[in-house]
Amino acid sequence: MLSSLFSLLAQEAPTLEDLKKQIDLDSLVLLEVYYFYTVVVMWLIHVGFMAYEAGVSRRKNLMSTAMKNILTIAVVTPTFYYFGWYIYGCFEEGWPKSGHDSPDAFPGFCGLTAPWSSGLGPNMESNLTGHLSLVFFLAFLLFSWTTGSIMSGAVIERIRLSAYLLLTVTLGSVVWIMDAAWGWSSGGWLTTRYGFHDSIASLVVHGVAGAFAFGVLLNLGPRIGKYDVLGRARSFRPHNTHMTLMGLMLIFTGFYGFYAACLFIQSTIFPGWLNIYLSPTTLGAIAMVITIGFAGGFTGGWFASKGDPFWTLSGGLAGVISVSAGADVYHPSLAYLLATSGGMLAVWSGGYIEKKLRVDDAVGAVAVHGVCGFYGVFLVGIFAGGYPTGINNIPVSFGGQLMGMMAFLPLAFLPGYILSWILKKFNLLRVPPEVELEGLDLAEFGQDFYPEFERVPEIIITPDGQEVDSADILLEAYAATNGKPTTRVEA
Amino acid sequence: MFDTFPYDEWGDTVTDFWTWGPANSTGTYILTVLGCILMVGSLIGWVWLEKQKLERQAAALRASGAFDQPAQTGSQTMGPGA
Repeated sequence: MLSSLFSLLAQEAPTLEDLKKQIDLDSLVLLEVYYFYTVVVMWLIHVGFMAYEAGVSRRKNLMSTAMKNILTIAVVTPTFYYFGWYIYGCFEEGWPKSGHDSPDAFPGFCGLTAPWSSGLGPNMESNLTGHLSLVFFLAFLLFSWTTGSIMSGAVIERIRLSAYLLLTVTLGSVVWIMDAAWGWSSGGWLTTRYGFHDSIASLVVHGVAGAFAFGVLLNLGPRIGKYDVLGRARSFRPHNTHMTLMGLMLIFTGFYGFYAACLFIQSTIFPGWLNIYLSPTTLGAIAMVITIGFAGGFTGGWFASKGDPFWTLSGGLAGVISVSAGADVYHPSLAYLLATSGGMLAVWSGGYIEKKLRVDDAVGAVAVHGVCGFYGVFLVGIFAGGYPTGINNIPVSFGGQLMGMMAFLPLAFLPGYILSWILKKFNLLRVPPEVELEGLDLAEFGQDFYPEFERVPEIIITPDGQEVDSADILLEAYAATNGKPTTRVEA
Repeated sequence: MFDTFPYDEWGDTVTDFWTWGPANSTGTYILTVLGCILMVGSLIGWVWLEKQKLERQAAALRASGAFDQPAQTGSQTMGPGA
């Protein structure tokens, strides 16, 4: 080895061809390292979702809540590998075509997304032009986990773990990646024909997951005791608010990885940073928008909720989601203003969903992700109209954005609604009411996960704001169900 | 530059090596099918096992009469309100 090193040092000056090879290799290594670390940072999103949801849950549902987030990884990873990635590669035109003749920038990409292809194997020659890098697949996989985690929080404390897993496979490995193929790829039909622009996935990840979750919630029904006989909403106290707030801060940190992974860099092929549609942007631009988006979202959430800590932090998330679609083109001041409005919108729509629609979304996921995801794409149609999107340079337009919204709403809502309806018919969607009252942890795991702490009465907040012992209220609500799962409360 | 080391030779050998064969080969198809069987089997297993567990627990709770009367505040059982 030492002699080889000396002979290397003693050799002649490298030729231009040698240098080109070296630059190509360095560029490839940079690409892989970049996406690898976006994946590492994005893990924090899932750590955060787990802590956030576990903290929101009551003590008796702590582990069953966390286990959903953990097993999301166990089911979405293989399903995304075996068919999810193929959907992204081959459904850009809505349906696979022989030879994949849609106008994409990566000819042959479809063939490299099958699980037995060289693109998804241990190929040492990986590069974006020939063999797609596995690390790029992994970045998309983390987006898939995120969609599952978004739905996860909405359905806690009464859904069966197995039902959630089936639903999250459908959302994470079919629904969201189908819409990504259509409107979040260089060759997607919404992009190449209508100039649909959603650069950091306001709609394709958040909005779609929120709409899917809404469909599930309609069949799942509220938690026992959530609504009184008049249909007024009660509130359950989170068992650990610190854990919830820390979870949200971890999600925010992970979002920087999420944003970064939405960009594209391969210096020997492209001139610089590109968005998912291969239009130029910069890492600085999107990092600025996300940061000021949090600022605006916190501000909007705080004022709209009159200082409620949960909604202040959720407002930050809503603010960022509201500006993500145009994060590659927005001026920071515009992003600040729009994110503030997004934070407010999340609070108001969350209240409407809970109190008027009487849909029990335990963490406000439909409002924060669903409503603000659609809102973000809507805003791009207004504030970034005319911006040339994608390899066909189709100008962004309000009509194009509307087309995307109209395509994705049924694509997301219907599978969530239909699959959860089927599961409900087979009595596989919701835990038995006795188990729900006792707490899912004892049934699922046979233990209380705070064994050293004294058990205190569970508190419920009545519609008029009083904190009372929940036992009688829950038993009364249980009796009203006649031992059957609860349904939506009619006024 | 790399000619000094037998890099290309190593690279070719390593690139050619796939566990159970290269892309689009019988071995890779078999691995894919086995993986799919595990994936589907585990999903079915989760549904089935949880169903057994929940039904058993619900039946036990009904039989115990735990929810027939209002629970006592501060009760040491893990009933509603715990």
